[in-house]
Amino acid sequence: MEPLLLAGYTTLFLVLFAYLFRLQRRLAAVERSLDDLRG
Amino acid sequence: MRFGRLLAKVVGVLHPLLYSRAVAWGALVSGVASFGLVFGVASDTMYGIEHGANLIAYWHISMAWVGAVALGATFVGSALYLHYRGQFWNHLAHSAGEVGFLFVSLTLLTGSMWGRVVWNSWWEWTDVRLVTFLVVWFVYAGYLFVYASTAGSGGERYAAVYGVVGFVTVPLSYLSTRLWVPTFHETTIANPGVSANIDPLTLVVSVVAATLLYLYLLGLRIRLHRVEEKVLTHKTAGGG
Repeated sequence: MEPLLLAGYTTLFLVLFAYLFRLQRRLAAVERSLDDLRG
Repeated sequence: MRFGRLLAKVVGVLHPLLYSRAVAWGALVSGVASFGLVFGVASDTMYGIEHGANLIAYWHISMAWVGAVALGATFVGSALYLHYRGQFWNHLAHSAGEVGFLFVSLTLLTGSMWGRVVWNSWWEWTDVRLVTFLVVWFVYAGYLFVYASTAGSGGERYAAVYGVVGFVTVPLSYLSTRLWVPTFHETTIANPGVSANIDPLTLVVSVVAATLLYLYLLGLRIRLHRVEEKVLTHKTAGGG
């Protein structure tokens, strides 16, 4: 595969999934803290 | 008043859709289909240049279109927040702006890579589309900065005004190749003089995949805002 194409799609994939996982982790942490406050 | 009721109905339908599994699965399936088409069907010859890296164009164009839609959602959310003052609109505006900024950044990055192939240059200051799109990037970086500086202190309306006014740069960038003489970016839609050789099916599937991914990320970001707000309410009520 063309190195530039590989670099482009790898960056796209990494950035989007890093943002997705960051959101999911933050959401899980905030939901835990809400449960603690309620409990 | 009638518009307000219609709006409530639209939100009632769209809101659960954002959190549905159909959006997540749709993004995954269409994403896989898009990559299958990009690497299996689409031609790597564009604008008469044969190069493997031309295939980055499918997600570059998809990111650019979805980025514009996202910033449009920031505009709508900001305008409705200024009118109705509902926190949902404020959350929608900021979430769409944050995800849109990410998409716009990726558009610039992939565009620079594609430019290296078709124009033999990473960046061209003389091209109106490139420069106006960079202006969009700076405007929305500014929006996120203003939101972060004012959120929670009762100054959300400043970010909302910014979200409304800043949107003017988005259609300006998209129309720039028709308004001014383009150096490199030629108008391809409804322009029979230019043949980019972009496979329509691959492009449509890629745009659908990027849109569903955007909706999934938007739903997650709005949910994060709502849970954070509940935590804050509990802390305030508990005096902590």
